[in-house]
Amino acid sequence: MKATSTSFLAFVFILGISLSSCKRDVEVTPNTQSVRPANFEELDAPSSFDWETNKSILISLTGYATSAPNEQGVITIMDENENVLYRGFHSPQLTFEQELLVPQALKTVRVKFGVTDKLIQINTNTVSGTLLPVLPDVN
Amino acid sequence: MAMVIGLVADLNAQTVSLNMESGNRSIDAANCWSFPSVSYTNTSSSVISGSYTAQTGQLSGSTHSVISPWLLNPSGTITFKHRLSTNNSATDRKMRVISYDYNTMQYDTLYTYANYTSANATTAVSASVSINKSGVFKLFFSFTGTSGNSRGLIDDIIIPATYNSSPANGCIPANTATDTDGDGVIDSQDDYPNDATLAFNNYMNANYSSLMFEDLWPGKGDYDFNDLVVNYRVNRITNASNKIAKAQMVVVLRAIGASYKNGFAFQINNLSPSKIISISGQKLNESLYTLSSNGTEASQTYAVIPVFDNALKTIGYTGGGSGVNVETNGGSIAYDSTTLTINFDVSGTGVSLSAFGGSTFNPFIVINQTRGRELHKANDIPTSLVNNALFGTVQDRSNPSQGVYYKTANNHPWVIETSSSIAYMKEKNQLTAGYLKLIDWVISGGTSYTDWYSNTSSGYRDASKIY
Repeated sequence: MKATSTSFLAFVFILGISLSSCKRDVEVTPNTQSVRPANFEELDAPSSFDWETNKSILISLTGYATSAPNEQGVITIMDENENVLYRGFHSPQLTFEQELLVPQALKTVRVKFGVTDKLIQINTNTVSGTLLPVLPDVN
Repeated sequence: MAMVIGLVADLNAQTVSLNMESGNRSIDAANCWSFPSVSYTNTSSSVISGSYTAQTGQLSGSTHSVISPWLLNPSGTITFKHRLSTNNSATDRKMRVISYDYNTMQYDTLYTYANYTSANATTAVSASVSINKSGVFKLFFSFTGTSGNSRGLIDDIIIPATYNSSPANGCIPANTATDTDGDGVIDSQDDYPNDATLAFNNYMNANYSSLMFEDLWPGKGDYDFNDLVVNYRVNRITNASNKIAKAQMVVVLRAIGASYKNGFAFQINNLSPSKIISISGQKLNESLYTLSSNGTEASQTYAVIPVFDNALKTIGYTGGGSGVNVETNGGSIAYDSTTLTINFDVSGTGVSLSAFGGSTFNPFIVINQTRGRELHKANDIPTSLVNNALFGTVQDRSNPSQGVYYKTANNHPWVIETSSSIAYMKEKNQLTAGYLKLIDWVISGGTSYTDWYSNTSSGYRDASKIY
């Protein structure tokens, strides 16, 4: 009896430890590491993380009514360092749409078309605006 | 009879006009009107007609003008309306119409109004100005003044002339620019002015990108990501119809931190192999790839372009053991540069920049001469010739039905690409040991330290670990 009680207590003790261990394992989930990983072995990357240093942006620029409807001209899209991201032929009355792959850190693009030369912000991977120029205010 | 002739004359007359009713100078500026120190106003006390009128800044020492687009053969009567905003300093103000000749670069004053008074300054003048010129001209409708705060107002400009500007080409005079190859793109804008089949350089990446591989897939490696290191840059040359006519790809083989004989290639996702006419510049010394007649790999659903089939042979390494350009106390071998030229079929819909762009460019290596053992970036799809039985084995936790490829249980990749060229790791040094913010970038989900690879400020790198 005594031996049985001791064995039972030991069983309960071991069971308790095991359950505690399981509970601890369930609490440690990817993406919520409380201690900064020191290396790859300790690193759990978020499951949706794609490891890309580029991002895809969609540029959509509305056209305008033109006095020369049969014309086309060159549209140029550049990054902040004036690296050319896109060059192509475009008709001013049409909307310009193009998907480009750019570095994740890029915040603005520069658009040149006709007399237009302006910077447009990238907002949640879209660049929206018009092909019209920006003129200075007059006081 | 005279009236019929007059009517016919009106139907045949061409005019260039501006009534400001767009309400937006930008629209009219896009069509080659210029507005130095002039805005549009819809203030009721300032509007001459309609809803909007052009208004100068305060006329206190500079010239304020509405400038026409380039005009061809202006001949007839120019009409417009003008006045001042207030009678302040009225007698100080003058209004002029001046022509400028494109060919002779000469100015000619056609009209001067110096009759503003405190009594009449705010009453609109309907002006009629005769013009009879041959050639290409601009007209300046200008207000001047030396002091005071009154402004010039002008509206309803009608010019008897033919519109002769080129809005899509920076408003130069129409038909003056040279187009040597006749493809429609003027020489100053054409990257290939003497070749009608080519027009624009479109680099897929602004600078060289780096690709760094661990080649023990589906087993994990040592995370130094230097088993194969290449830089690459792709120029997609489009024609005047914005179709890719030719692509030039430069691949620089920099390091081989392994003993495997790896090949390097890329797939253009969703692009039929038949869209490629020919490929030149490939470095193929083994029998790893079977090519079709156009240089793409045979038996592939999408276009697959082999670049080289044995990195060790390509870089010219003939020694035993492993490690090329990854040990600082070892010898170094000059990088190898491969330049591919890919010619595309431009007929029909051709190949757009989106069809061969950053999101469809899918580089990979073939590991140690085993064709089915191909390694791509995380979540990039494999080619038709992959050995699917390798997915989910060893440390690979790919789940093709979920679109998950080439990731471990901890979501680690086997390939790292950076959007600009970076120095790679010394042998046996983890990438995280050299690029100190990489871990922070990952655990932020990519929202922080997006410059982990390019920033050289203090705290971003441990140069002692980097080759």
